[in-house]
Amino acid sequence: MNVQEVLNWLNDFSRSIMDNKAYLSELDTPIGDGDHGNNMFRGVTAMQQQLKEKQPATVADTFKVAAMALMSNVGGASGPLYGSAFIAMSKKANESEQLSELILAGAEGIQSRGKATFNEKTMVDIWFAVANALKAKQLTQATIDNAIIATKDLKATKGRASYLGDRSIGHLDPGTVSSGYLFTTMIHNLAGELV
Amino acid sequence: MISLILVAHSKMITDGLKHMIDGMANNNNVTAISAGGMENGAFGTNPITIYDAIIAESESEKILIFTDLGSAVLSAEMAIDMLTSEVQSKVSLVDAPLVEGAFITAVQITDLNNLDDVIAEVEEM
Repeated sequence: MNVQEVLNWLNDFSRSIMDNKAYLSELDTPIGDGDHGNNMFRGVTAMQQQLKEKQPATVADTFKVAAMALMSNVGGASGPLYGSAFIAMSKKANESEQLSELILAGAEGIQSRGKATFNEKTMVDIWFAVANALKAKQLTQATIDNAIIATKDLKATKGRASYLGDRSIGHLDPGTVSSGYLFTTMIHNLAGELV
Repeated sequence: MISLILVAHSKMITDGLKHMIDGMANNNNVTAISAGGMENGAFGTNPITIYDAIIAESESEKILIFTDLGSAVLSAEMAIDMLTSEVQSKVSLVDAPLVEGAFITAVQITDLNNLDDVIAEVEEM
């Protein structure tokens, strides 16, 4: 893994968020405050700009710049959650640049920030699903798609959607969908790290 | 001095609450800081804004953070994590309603001696 590959990944992720801004906010409307697309759009716009300006020299620095940009520009809960993931990945990258270890560190960062556990219809589910599949060298697009679809039938017990109880069932979790874009673009840019 | 850091999704809320505390609480031991909203006026909370507010008050004896809901709590926790342990030891995140909690705290705190009682009272609300 080199800096350019990570930059390409994060830029493709930004583009996916930008292209799907309306869809992400639409997903967030029935079970949240309807702003996930706009919030993430603001975050990735700042992230792209800062990655260009600061020209990070290492993978660890690249994740750190991404973390700071998302944390201070997203505005909703996804800001500190994605921020915690990327900070944890930045710290881990100082020891190891193995993708499965980085994503596991990110998943743990999200979990310790949001205090959600598995099957609560949050980003935690997809981050651990991807981390586990990476570790087993079995990550495919299907892993990501299945993790997203699995959130549909769950009842939210953490986060804003948990206020709705049973009414949260039947809707995809917006944070899981945006994380899905992160992992899909990761597969495209870091294919060599999957095997 | 005891500093109250006010965090909400709209800066108008924390500006208004600061205005109310400054004008009505009448307590020279307390200072209130508005740290709500996003830099560009958007709704939301920003861990860096909260962090900067804490650092600016780091000479205070105690720094209490009051939040509205959801991401305000996560952002405040993130800001606290970024502090040195020395500053961290002065900071508490108070689990009370933002307006009532901060206002009653501002009225009732006389010094560090009654701080725990006041926090216990507003956390009951």
